[in-house]
Amino acid sequence: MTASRDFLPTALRGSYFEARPKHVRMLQTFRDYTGKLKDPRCLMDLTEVVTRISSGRRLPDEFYRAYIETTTDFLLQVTGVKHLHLGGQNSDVLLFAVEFPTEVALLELNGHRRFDRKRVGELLMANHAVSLARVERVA
Amino acid sequence: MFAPVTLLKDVLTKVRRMVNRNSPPSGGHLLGFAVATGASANDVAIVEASKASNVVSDDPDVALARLIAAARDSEGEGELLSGMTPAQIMQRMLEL
Repeated sequence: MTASRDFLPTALRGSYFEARPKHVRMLQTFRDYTGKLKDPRCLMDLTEVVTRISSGRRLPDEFYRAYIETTTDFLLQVTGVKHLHLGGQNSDVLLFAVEFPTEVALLELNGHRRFDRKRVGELLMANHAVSLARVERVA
Repeated sequence: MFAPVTLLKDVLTKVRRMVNRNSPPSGGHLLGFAVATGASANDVAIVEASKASNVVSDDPDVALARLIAAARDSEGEGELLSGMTPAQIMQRMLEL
């Protein structure tokens, strides 16, 4: 998975999204694989994530994974792909996104099954690499 | 870093199959294949895949740069959600 650092060298790999205004882009390859996007709570959470990042406001802790301070997110460290929980910290509705210095790219909604698969990062990158490369160019 | 041989073969098989169908893979295809193998900039998969298309170069770095350039030209930058009102964002999401 070393290729990911080659393709997304400017992706930010901090645990939290920066609290500064950024453009939020939904990739052309964006998909909801959970079928939960029409759930009012998830829809409101996704909207809140977009509006907070756009205006540079900090995201509430409930969007981040548990134990974020004490455990390593290998997907983030290796590929630059962050994930947020929609519908509560223990929910299985995850928003996968990549944060650049001035842009945030939304990749897809999916569940923890993404993490159950081997080479999860490669699958994510294979699905979205082309669109991400385009966003990274303007970031 | 070299991709596992089996994965590399898979990539080349896909590329050659597309070439044989007279539809050479686009930069986007090649980039996707390369990423899927865990290929690095120096991986032979990129060079071999490049030779099989019109993104030809014996220099892996040049080949990769051309692949990425082709990929960037092949798709838009995504839909900008910033600037939309919350109601507009919700409406857009419901349309997916």
